[in-house]
Amino acid sequence: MESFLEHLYSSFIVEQRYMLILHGLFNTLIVTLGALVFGFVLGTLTALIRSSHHFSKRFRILNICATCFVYILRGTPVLVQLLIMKNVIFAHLKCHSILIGIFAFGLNSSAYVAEIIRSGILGVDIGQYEAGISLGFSSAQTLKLIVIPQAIKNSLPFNQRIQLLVKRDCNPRQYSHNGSNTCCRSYNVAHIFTFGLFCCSCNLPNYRVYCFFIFKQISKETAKSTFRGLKLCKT
Amino acid sequence: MQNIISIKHLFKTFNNMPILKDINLDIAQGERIIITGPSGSGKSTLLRCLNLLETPTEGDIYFMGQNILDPHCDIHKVRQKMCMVFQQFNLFLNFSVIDNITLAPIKLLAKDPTQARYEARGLLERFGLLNKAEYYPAQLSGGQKQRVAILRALAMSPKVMLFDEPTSALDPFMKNEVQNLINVLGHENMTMIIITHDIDFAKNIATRIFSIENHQLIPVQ
Repeated sequence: MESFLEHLYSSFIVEQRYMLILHGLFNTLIVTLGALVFGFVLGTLTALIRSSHHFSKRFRILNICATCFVYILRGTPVLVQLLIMKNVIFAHLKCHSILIGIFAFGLNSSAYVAEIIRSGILGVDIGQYEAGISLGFSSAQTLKLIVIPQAIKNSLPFNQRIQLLVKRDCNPRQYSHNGSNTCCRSYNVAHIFTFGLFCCSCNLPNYRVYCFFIFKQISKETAKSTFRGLKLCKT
Repeated sequence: MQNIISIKHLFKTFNNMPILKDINLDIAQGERIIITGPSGSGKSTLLRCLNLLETPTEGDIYFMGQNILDPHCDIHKVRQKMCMVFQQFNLFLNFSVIDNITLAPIKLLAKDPTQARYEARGLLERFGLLNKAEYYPAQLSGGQKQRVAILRALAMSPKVMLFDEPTSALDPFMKNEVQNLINVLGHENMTMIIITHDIDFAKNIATRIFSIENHQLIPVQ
């Protein structure tokens, strides 16, 4: 039986195996950031189309397309979408697998982000919209100046999408590029169960903890306009 | 004197259920019209039809000689001249009091922000709210919120102000604050259409009182 220190040595030091984890971590972060940006932009656009139709009954065709987009992407497993991207859509294109991952995860995330942002917009009291309209603002101006700034506060929970993007990085194996979890599978099985997975599951550094504290601070800042927030914030 | 608002044969139905039937009303400049009636009778619907928050099923509404139901009519310009004050205040929660008042004049009337803030501070000082200028709506009492809502509408220099039960959500003390403000506006010859259940207030301020009964507008003596 190997001792703990021998496990440590053979898991990380021999053949510079720690580089594999670091490489996987780097790829994970790249895919996460790329998917986050792409998903946020596309999701916001989708949410705005659907919300505009809700308030002003315009963009009917676009709304139908956006609705189908959201329901199809939310209704199919991300693994299926990833396989379709890799083996069908990008099969004949010489595209780096990182880009495929960004596109696939971003597309999937955009559907969820769209629903989160749309629910944030619709969560704003209808009286806010009517007050803007009654002063003479157009529907677009009212959404831009009054509704969406308030909806952003309601939509802050989308930080959970960031954490999910990181956790799901185990799927990159399907498009054959190493994420941080996949790297563990490169090890000897004995090492995986004794040490490798244990270290990766600790998520060094722990992104979820960082995300939690970052968004808690953002929530505190944006809550300054609410009465409850004023008690928490020392203004 | 030309009527500032003329309502001709206005009908409104929701899902084939009649709410308003054959409403006819002419309002001259400077009049204070009180509309009263039981809950659910269509008072708010009539008021919302005037600034097209609801679209009438039939009929015409003329504002300063222009049919606002005409597709070529710029309804946004009409609404800038016919501002509404809501029962639930509907202050913009993400803006401070002074930003609530200056937002529309700056964005819609292209007023200089400094001038708009100066005028807003003048309004706030006149009605005893200057010390609340940088507060957010969540920090205000109900009466203060409603007064800020009225000042927000006043800042647009409207021709007509619509009040949808402005004091129903307030306690008697706050109600007095708001009614005093509306009285001041009345003495300044502002054309107002007010929905209220407060008969004493109505008698003090009204030039004419109407009631909605059986979906129709009936003058009250």
